[in-house]
Amino acid sequence: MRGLRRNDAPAPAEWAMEELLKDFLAETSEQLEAIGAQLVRFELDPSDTRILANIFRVVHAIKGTCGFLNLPRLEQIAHAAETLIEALRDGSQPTPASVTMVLAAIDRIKFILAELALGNGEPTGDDAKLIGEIAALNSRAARNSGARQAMVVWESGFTPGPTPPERRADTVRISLRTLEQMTALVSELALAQNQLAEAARSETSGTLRKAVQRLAGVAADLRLNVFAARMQPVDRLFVNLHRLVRDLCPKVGKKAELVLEGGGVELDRQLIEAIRDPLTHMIRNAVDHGLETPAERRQAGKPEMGLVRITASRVAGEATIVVADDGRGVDEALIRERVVALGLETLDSVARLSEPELLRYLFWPNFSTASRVSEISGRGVGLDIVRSNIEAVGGSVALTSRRGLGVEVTLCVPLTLAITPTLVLSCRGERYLVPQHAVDAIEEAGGGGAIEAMADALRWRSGAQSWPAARLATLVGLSEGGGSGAEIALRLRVGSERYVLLVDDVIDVQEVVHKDIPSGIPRLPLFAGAAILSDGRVALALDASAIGIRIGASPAGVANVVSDREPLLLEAKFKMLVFRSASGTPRALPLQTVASVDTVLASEIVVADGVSFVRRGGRLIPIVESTTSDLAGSLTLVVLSEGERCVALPAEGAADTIEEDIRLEFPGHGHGVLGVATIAGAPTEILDAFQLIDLGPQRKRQYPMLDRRPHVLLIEPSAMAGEMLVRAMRGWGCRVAWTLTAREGLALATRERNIDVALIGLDIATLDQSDLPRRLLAAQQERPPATYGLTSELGENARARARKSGLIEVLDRFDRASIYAALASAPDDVIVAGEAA
Amino acid sequence: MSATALSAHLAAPRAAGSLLLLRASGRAFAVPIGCAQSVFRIETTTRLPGAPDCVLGLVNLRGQIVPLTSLALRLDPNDKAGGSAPLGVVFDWGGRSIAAAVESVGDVVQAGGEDIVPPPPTIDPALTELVVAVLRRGRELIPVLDIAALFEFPVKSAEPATRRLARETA
Repeated sequence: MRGLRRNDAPAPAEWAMEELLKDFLAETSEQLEAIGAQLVRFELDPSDTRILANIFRVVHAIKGTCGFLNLPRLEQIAHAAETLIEALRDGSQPTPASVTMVLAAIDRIKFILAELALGNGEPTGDDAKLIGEIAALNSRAARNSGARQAMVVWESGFTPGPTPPERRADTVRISLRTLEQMTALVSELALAQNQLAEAARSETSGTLRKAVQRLAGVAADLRLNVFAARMQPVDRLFVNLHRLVRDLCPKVGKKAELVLEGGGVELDRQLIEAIRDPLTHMIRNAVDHGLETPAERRQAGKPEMGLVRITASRVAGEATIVVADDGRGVDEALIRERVVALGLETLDSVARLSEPELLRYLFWPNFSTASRVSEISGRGVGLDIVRSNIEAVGGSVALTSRRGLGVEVTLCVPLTLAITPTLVLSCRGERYLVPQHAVDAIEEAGGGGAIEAMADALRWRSGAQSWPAARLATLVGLSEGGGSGAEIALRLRVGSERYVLLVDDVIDVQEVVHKDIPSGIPRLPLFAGAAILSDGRVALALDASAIGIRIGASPAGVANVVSDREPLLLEAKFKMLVFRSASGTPRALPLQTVASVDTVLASEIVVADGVSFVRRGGRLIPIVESTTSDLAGSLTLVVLSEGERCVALPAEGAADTIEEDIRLEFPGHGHGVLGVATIAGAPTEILDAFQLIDLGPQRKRQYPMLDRRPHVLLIEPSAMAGEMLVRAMRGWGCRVAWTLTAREGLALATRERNIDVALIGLDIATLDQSDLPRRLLAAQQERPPATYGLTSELGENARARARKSGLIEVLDRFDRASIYAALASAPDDVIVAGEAA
Repeated sequence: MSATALSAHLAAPRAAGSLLLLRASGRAFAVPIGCAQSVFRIETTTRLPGAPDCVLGLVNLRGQIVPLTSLALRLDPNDKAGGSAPLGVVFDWGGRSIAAAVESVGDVVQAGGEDIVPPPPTIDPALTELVVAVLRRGRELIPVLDIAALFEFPVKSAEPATRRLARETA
């Protein structure tokens, strides 16, 4: 609103000045951030005068505004810098001294701006020395450039003059507060729109229904747009890094080139901020400790210039940022020594640690192997801080090292923080959270409705309607007393079920970041997680659907099924996407098989030839399960794709990702269900992504039967992945023997003589230490099988490492097409013998 | 790693080395220093209804939500003052953080081979599963706790809340 006031009613001059200063500071700091990287680029390529023109423009604009805002110190330094940059722009050769001086001047400008931003006014201080040095350079530059000045042709629209040319920008700046408010309002809009849709359901008027439908569409689009506005490219993190490396190298006597990839990957702005410090820290580590000195590198036969590569990429719901260097790698002997010195392991036990186990110690508090404490890093604060910062936003850090070849640190973070508008309730002095989207209405006892005690349960009656109800205090076992007497009824909706929860009070609506209740304590059935409130207190989030089941709103009994069979063994952990089907059944899929999770409007769904379709990105996606014809509102679709083929599954409410051991407790009976496993306490259908894609209406048979019926040995520790692969391969005519452990697999390979193809589920990180592929080949030396690795994380070097360890190739275990191709290309001379399976 | 495998991994080799001394229920205990991450003063704790009694609740530790347990109540469920210890020690428990409330945190001692002896058969039966060794310090015998076993909680009998609900509504 402040912006409007400036136009509508002239404000006092002082206030206007303050406001101008604020605008100036915001704009300038943003521009300075951008030119830091450009200066380094200019030094690398002095012929690029366009960059210098950009730098000039920024400094010039600062100088121009300074006079107006009465900032003499800033004006002087900006003026000196401007003159120097002007000389460079006009063709005088940049020298290391002149670039350093420009950087020094810009640093001074930044310092003064930072002081101004604190509201202290312009700081006192003397810049005479700096200005003098710049002036000395200027006079030298002036002698050297002279006549060339006239020949410079500007590519950009820069025209020198007292006022910088006005550029028409296609962006506007909005304050963070406004953005946060918009996020909150959009959520409230969704709530209001839900209520309206509910009211319109009983309405027969076509006009109203259409209007409600249209509103639903607009509201959904608006929400997507607001969330998109929160996203920022990783480039924002990258801009200062060239400068960082450039400044760092001379201090530590290293030469380094920084390569940045994937700057276009977008993250929620809060996450960008959360990664900033850890990333800087890891680059410092890489340059200071990772890279060798130029002399050492020459000796090792490497180029003098070390390489630090930062790669951002996006996989499903996560962003991955890899910081890799080509330095000396981690000195394991040194870590062993340090581990023993710190008393974390004994000499005996440290020798037994595997490489990943040993490297994990690098993340321990105060664990530093830097033999010398430098100004840059090695103060003993390090990777543990990186780890805790990244974990605080729900991410993870991993480190791999190859001796003499370098270190690779991988940060995984979610693309957005799971920020959800949440109702903060109070009950007997404790606070609890319930997601706002689950709340249909809030009523007061005595106001709109009343509690009725039926024979065996409570009910809440409001008008002509009534709902099953329960007191939160009773449910969670809080003491009976202490309530204020007044009761608030929350009408909740989960899936198609409605019920009422009675609480003492509703305190607030807050945007909170949901976290899991830390593992390590027994699971609590009624809570879905916890969150930190704005006052720093921790509050538990209620599991609205579990409470619904407890109250009796939903069909009960399902949650208490106990398996009388031994669950299959499984060790491998997978990231799983967990969601509820349109009918409320919990379901899960390996995240890797999911192409996207989309929200579509009910109106976007068209039925053709008996199949529901939705159009996305120019193609029709069939929806494999018929949906309830919920005309108003939007629908979440989980989209799976494989090449050209794709299908969508309707989902109810939000999807979530977990990383868990999936133990199939019951086998599935086809139709895309692999089996039933317990996830977060609820029996959950584990879906077979391969089969679901086949269930789509596509006619073409993608994978013809393999006539040769190859014999396949599958060593796959994950019951879920194993089950999926076995089903797929049997469908192609393969005869499959599947073992969960390497030991059993080897035993089988020694016994059976006719294995054509061996597939081994493995972790790329430990591949170098594993001799399994070689032992397998040795066991079958008369006619070695075509041996492939199956993994979930195909890294850049996976192929090279695979070949080194005797594998033909490493395949993504959820990439059916490449597994089929591998099986189809298996050697032909098969001697058919008894079933291997 | 399963809990038993984890405790086998942590127990034996780590009994020797640096040990951190703690006090709970008026008694001294020792834990391998490698398992301890940090110490903090307990302020607000959020109760966890339905959790075992020795779990005091959740605390906000610099943005991380960490469960806080009572060492005294874990060692003796009937300890009267068990819930009122002022300091929390954060442990690394198989890669996760979990905190234990204690009365005070003492010195770090270097324990060599001869200072560490197997738990005597006369040890408090409630402690047998939680103590990996005994640290001899002068005339004092200090039990060395097995962190992995310490945070394996006894599971409560199922769902008392349902019965209470039925009683209330009846």
